[in-house]
Amino acid sequence: MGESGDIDEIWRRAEGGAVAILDCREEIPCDPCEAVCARGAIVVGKNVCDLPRYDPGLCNGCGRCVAICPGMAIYLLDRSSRDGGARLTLPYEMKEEIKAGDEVWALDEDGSPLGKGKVVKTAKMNKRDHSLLVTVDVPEEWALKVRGVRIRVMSIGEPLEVRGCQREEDHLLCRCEEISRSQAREYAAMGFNSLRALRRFSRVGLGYCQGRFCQAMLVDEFSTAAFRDREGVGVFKVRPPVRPVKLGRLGGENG
Amino acid sequence: MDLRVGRHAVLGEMEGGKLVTIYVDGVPLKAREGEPIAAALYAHGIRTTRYSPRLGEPRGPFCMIGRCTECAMTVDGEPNVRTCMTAVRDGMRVDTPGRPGE
Repeated sequence: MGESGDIDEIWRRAEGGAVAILDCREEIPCDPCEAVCARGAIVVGKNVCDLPRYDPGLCNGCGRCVAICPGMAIYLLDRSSRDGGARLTLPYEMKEEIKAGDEVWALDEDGSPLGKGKVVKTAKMNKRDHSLLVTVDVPEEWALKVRGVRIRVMSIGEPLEVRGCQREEDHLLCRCEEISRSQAREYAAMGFNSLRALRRFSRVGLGYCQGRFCQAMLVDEFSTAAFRDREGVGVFKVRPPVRPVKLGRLGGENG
Repeated sequence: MDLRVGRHAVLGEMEGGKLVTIYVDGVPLKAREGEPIAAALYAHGIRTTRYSPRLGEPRGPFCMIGRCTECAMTVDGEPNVRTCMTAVRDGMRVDTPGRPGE
């Protein structure tokens, strides 16, 4: 773990109570963890893109950094319980409610389930916070592998849901021709056998952006509505130029 | 109120171009030379860049990288110019296309 603290020391200290583990790997301009740590255990320093330097010896396991990290890259490890398990406190930002007593799936960093864990308590650092801190008991061998929890019923091996937004709110899919998602669905259900056929009929993807913006969403929507796989739906033929260019410019005009 | 970023966390001090005048629907506005037209409009609180042709709804800059075409305006008489990708020059005339009633 290098600058994020010696993992052996963290492991040892966790026997006495909660201690933070930083799994921050992205050198991005981000330093709320430094500002929020009252003990000065986390230092990003002058270059805001540096990875945080962390001294586990100063950490009191308060969990403020867990709640504030936008990348959800910090969690608490507590090995003080006598039954030999590990007690983790993880940030949780999904909509499905989690409460103490719930059985949840413990997920690894890829989002794949390791197995089940039991929620001991949930807390928010302050009311306006969007991060819920979920404290969960898991077997010790997962202590350094778990990166999140999931409440939804799911069997191990089930593929994770790919589509993010499942709400039925309507919105524009093709912004240029002003065709909404519900309209695109209606068109798709009319029996066209390819996205190109749908385009000829409805004008989706024929506006100024030429499908640059909407194509991925259209493929997704059409394949769902028409019960076809994405390959069967096909894509628009890509023709140069890849970005809008004035015809006059191709003809030698300047500007 | 000027919404421009004066000091950027990564890029440091931002030196703005010199102040020039552009005409938005005929109204003179101060803008920084070289900044995207959409940024200049945004700094003046202008959020509507065009009205959609079919529904007549107001639209504003959306993707900011020249793909979605929501920020397309008429610049110096040339239609469909993506203002998020086009730099401000002194004396530019920028017009909002598709205003209802026109």
